[in-house]
Order: sequence, then structure tokens, then C-alpha cells
Amino acid sequence: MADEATRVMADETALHLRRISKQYEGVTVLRDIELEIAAGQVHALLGGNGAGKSTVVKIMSGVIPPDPGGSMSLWGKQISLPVSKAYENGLAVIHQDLGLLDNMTVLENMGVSSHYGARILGRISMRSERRLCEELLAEMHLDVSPDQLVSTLSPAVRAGIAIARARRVMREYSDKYLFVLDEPTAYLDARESEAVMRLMRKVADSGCAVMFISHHLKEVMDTADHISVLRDGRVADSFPAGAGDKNRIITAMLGRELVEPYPEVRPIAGGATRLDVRGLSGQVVRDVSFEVRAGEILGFAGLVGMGHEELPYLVAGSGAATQGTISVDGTDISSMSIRERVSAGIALVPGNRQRDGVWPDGTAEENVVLTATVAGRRKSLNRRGERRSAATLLARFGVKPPDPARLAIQYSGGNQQKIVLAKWLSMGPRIVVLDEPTQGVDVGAKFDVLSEIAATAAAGGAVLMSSGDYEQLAAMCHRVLVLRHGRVVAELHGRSLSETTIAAAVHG
Amino acid sequence: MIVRSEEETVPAEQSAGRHGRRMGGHSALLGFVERYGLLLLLVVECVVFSLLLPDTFATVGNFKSMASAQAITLLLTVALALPLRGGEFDLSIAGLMTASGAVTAVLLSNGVSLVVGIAAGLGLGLVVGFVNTGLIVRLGVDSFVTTLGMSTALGGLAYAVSDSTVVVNLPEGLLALGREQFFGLQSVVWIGWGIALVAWYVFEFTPFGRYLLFVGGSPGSARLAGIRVNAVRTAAFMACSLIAAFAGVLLIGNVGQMDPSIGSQFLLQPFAGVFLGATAITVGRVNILGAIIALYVLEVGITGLQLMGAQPWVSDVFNGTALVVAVTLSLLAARSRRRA
Repeated sequence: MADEATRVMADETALHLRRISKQYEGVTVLRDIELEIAAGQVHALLGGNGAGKSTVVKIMSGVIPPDPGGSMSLWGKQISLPVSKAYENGLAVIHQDLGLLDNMTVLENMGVSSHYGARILGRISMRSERRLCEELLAEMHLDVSPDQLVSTLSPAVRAGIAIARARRVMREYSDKYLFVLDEPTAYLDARESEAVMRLMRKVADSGCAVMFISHHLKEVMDTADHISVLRDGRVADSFPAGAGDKNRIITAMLGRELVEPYPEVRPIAGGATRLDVRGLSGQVVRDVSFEVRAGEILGFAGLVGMGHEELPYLVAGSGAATQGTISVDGTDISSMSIRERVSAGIALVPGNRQRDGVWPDGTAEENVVLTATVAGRRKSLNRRGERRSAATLLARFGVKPPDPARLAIQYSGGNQQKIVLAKWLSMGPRIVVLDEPTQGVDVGAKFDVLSEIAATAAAGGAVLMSSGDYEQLAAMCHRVLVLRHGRVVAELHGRSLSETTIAAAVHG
Repeated sequence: MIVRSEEETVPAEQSAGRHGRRMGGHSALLGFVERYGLLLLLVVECVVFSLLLPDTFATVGNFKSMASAQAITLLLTVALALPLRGGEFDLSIAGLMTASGAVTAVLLSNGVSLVVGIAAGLGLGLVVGFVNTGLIVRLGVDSFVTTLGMSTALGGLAYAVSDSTVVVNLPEGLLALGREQFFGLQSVVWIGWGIALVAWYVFEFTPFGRYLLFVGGSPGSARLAGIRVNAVRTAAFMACSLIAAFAGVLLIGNVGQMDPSIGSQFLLQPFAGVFLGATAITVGRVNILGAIIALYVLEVGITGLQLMGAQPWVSDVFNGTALVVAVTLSLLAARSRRRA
């Protein structure tokens, strides 16, 4: 993976962490972390939700102090802990949201972290700003105009701009940079993720070092030179990419071998048509028709903006359909409100968990019993009954810890998703519509989540699943429809259904 | 977002088992102090002032007068708590109270029947609620700015209606509504407590009370769960306006006259009460019990200081400071709950 040039520089160490530990209120979060990243290296940091990845990053960037006893060096220089001003020593953390100002131009974004090269009330020299911006864009091989609005750019280019901006801040102090990217691809489709991966490769090949956090094992295997896996606050495994495969990562993450990464999906039991969609159109979706039988899991795939991500919301009624009919067990629900569709048995597990899935300040109990509360039409709440059913649900869906009084926001992403699933699947839905059901969910929790989905289908529900994870679609679905420009361009099932055929149809 | 918060939660996740069940995840003692700290403060205030001022503060008469003085404010606090629980401001309550009081007073002093006069005041509440929801809920205008403008306009309207004079000679029936004594306390006090009791029940024991929180905290997921988000917000604003208008009617019945300049002094305490109240009982959430306790903490504090000879301006300083402290504390409380 690393070419000649990088191999020459590889003996230079970008980052070296030794014996980094962290306790919170007597609970050990990190224990004796050892981590070494070479110049020119793309280093992947993996681990389940709560394994300690973000804590490591926060200690590296100085957001939180480590416990005494450890040490850290950047580009060969010993750093005094806790870290202050990491960027002066050539370390920049690029957060998942990138911190770009969407409604401003590339030029304006580029200078925002460095006062546009002027004193706080000094005059900004637009000419030198522009020159600098163009220089940075060229260094990163980014083909965009400085005057373009950031909101119009693709995710990978935006990531590039965030890196260029960090570079600008750091170059006053040093010419060696380590970039840490926190889940840069979590919300991107396959093609955009690949673009981000290529970008990281380019950055690393120019002599910098890159560390990134990811849940996508495939992109990790494709891009990383070195892989470190955290589990329970320790480095469970760390190896050059050539020395291990996916299974080695999964084993390190889980502490055991995951025999079958996907749950068994039962064949359709010859059930009747549950959901019948005819000529459905929405914002992007154009004239789409399909049927889903009881017990069937139907998948939707496509590139971002091609319509597969809109379909779940059209069926659930939160997106407005412009044409077409939707029938559930023979009853036309096209003109029903969301509320009526919920009572007709349609459950939507949305893609944006933080915004649409959970109520962060509500307790696990309040979140999980919500559908029952809405459906109940009771004048007053049955608090005791709620507590009991919440406790049962949290246990059944494997939410950890199963504490009904805990706030949703205090749970990890995977557990929040289990809460959302519990909320919807507990109402015994006839139709379950899912948008990226395992987004931001670690491998162990992913299996639990998918098992519940398979169980719902086995119990006679009709399941619709939209996802950019082709492997998951191939493993879980009986059939997959691929959309392009809002229309169905391929229907894959049986032998024609695999990760590669989906990818081929999507990009075809 | 997801990842950044996830690992912060690790310590509490592991320590959760040790402390048993509670909202949020503090130690049991800390949780108790947090929940009942405000109540404790109220008790301490009463004890301290009683010891310092045995002849003036520690009298039945003083406690009765404090209760009466806070009755109208209590109503406004309950009114304000409705939209605030749903994450929206309503600053128009004080202006609306004055305007509805003025409308009712002018009609009644001109010989209109009691029922029609009161209905007109409440009707104004419905109209204002309707306009507020039209702008805020339907169109999506910012609630803070909308209701700030509304409050000022209504305050002006009160002057216009009353011809910038103090309206007197109100009918006996209205005065009875505001002043009649039951079990030693004025009717306004009982009405205030009654409405607060209803609001407490609605907040804590009905789906509506929970939907308000849900709609304020996560409108997206509330909508997808089948909650009629706009209907819930509309109901909150309408109920708020209606209660505020009713407060206006009670106010003139209690005071016995209508002074159009009276409204401004009623806005701050409800806000301080609701925000300070959100730091107690159900910590981090707008709740009625907390708000009532907070209101009495303010009243007892101010009364005590004034009885000790403090100047009248003390109450403004006290209330204003309390509001700032209250919002800060409620923010910190919410944050620590999220973190823990």
C-alpha cells in the first residue's frame, strides 16, 4: 500500500503514546494505551461504542487530561501532558461535522481559524488570503474555486477543506502534520467514502500522517496501513494491514470470534402481500411500484440523492408523496397522516437518530414506551405499567445498561438505536421501514439490531430497508431494488443478489 | 456528534449499578440535594427571617399577605410554564394580563354585565393566543421576538382602552371574585393554587405533559412517532394566553381598580420562577412544583429583606439576579444530567 517515498520516511514517528491511562470517578476508561503512528501512514483506530476511541483522541488533542504516568511525543518531540495547543506541535483533529461554515465560501472558511491572517480588528488582506487559499487547495489537489459556497461541495471535498484549514493553522509552527479524523465517513455513501479514503491516502503520501476512526471494516481494510483496535479501554490488537483480515479486527473488537456476522433470515413463508406501492412519486422518487409480502425483507440501494433514502419517509408519511397509492393489507393509506399510519401498523426507524429517533433528554423509559403512549389514547399515564414494560423491553433488546431512568443521551449510539428499535418493534408493526438501521452502531450491537429486524419479518411483518451498506443488504434482504434518479433500475434477488451485484447496479 | 458523546458516558454507564435508580445518574445524596435544595432554601429563609424578625415576619398575617401577593404571579408562572416546557417563550403574558384587565375593567365600569365583561377579557386572551400560534406555530417566526413585540403592543393597548387613567368603580361581583376570603385566604390564592394543581397533574401524569417535553426536546422524533407536534404547541400557547387573560381579570378584581402601568412588574418573576423551578424536583425540566417553590423563595426573600428595612429597589435587584442565577443553574443542571 505504501509506495517507495513513504517507506523512506516511515522510520520517522508522527505520534507515540506510552502508558496513557484515564480514570473517571474511579472507573478506568483507558488503561496503558500504547500507540505508534509513522509518518506517511494511514492508521485506523477501531473499537466498539464505548471502547475508548474518542477518549484517546481527546487526550491527544488536550480536551481532557490523561492520568499521570504516561507520555506522548509528536514528530519526535516530547509533549508535556496534559496537551495544550496540539496544533503548535503538528496535530490537528478533524471532527465528524468538520466545523465548516456552510453558508460561507471556501475562502472565508479557510481563514476563520487564523483570524484571516490579521489582528482581531486589523484589516484583512483579501489578496494574500486568496493566494494562500489557492496554494492550500493546490497542495491538497482540490479542484474548487475559493469563491464557491461550502454547502455546494461534496462531503469528500469538504473534508479536504477542513484538512487544508487545519494545515494553515499549523504551518506557522511546523511542517509535519498528523491529522486525526473522527468517523469521517459515518454518514457518507460508498462512493463518497471512497473519495474521503483517497483523500486521506494522498495526505499521508505527502509525508503527513493520518489517523482515522471508522466502523466500516471494508474501507479500513482497503485504505489503512496499520490497524489498532481498542476494547474496554485497552489496545486489544495492533497490526499492519497486510498481517490480518476482517476477522482479526472483529475478534479484537468483540474479544471473541463472531461466527456469523449476520443473523439468519428465514425464507418468505409464502405470505400474502402486506404492502402494495403503485406509481409512487415524491421529491426524487419517480413512479416506483413494488409489493412486499408478509415475512419479506426488501432492500433499497442507490447513491446519495438517487431516491432510495426518500422511500422510507414516503411510505411512513413524513415525506409528501406527489403521486401514487400505498396500500397496507388492501387498505389505501396514501392520504393518511403520520399518526394514522402509525395506528395502521407502520413503524419508521429513521436515519438521523439524533434528530428523529430519540428524545435525548428523555429517559430510556419515556422513549421506549412512546409508541404505546401515543397509541394508548389514555387520559393519564400509567406510570407503573410503563416502568414494567420499559424494563422488559430494554432487557429484550439488549440495551446496556437496562436502566429505565437513564437519559437517552447517556447511552452510546448503538444502545440508542436499540432503544429506537424497541420503541417501534414493540408495537407489533405490520410494516417496518428502516433508513440506515445500523449507522454508527458497532459490530456487536449491529448483530443484535439486525436480529430484531429479522425476527420481525419472521413474525409476519413486511420490512423495508434502505441502506448504503451493500454487504448488509445482500445478507439481510430477500430482494433489493436499486434506484437511480428516482426510478428503479434493477431488481436483485436470489442468486443475482450479492454485495458486488448491488454495487455494480448502483454505480452502473 | 454520536461518537463524541458516546465515550463520555462510559464512567456513568459502569457506575450506574452502584447508585440504584434515579433520573440522570448522580449519587443518591447529590440527587436528593439537587431535587430538594430549593425547598430547603425556602425553609432556611423562613427560619432565618423568623428568628431575625419574630414580630413582623413570623406572623400569620405576613404569610397570608405573601400568599396573596404571589397569587397573580403564580397564575402567570403556570401560564408561562406551558410553552416553556415545550421549548418556546411567551413574553406576551404580562402585556396580555394588563390588556385583558383593562378591557374587562372599562366594560364593567360602563355598566356591562359581569359575565360579558369577563368573557371579553378572556376573549382577548383567545385572540392573542390565536395570533401567537399563527405566527409562531404555523409560520415558524421566532417565539421570543414575536411575543416580545406582542407584549409591548398589548401594554400600549391597555393604555388606549383605559384612556391612560386608572379605572375605578368596579362592580361588587368582580371584587368578590378576587377578594372573597375562604378559610382565611383570598379567593385569588385558592384559584392560583387550583390552576397550578391542574397544571401539575397535566404535566406529570398525562400524555400531553410528556408530549410537551418531547416536542420541545426532539420535534423530529415526536412527529415521526405520530404526535401532532403543531397541535401540542398550539394548545400550549392557547392555554398560556387564556390563563394570562384570566390573571388580568382576577388582578383587577383583587386590587379593585385597573392601573394600565401595572403590567411591567409582573413579567420577570414568572420567568425566574420557571427557570429556577427547573433546577428542582424534576431537575432539568420545567415543572410546576419546582416553579411554585421558586416563586415562594423569591417572595419570602424579598419580603424578609424589605421588612428588615431594605429599599424598594431591592426587589428588582433580587428578582433580576435570581433570573440570571436561575437560567445559569438550570443550564448547568441539564448539562450535568446529560454528562453523568
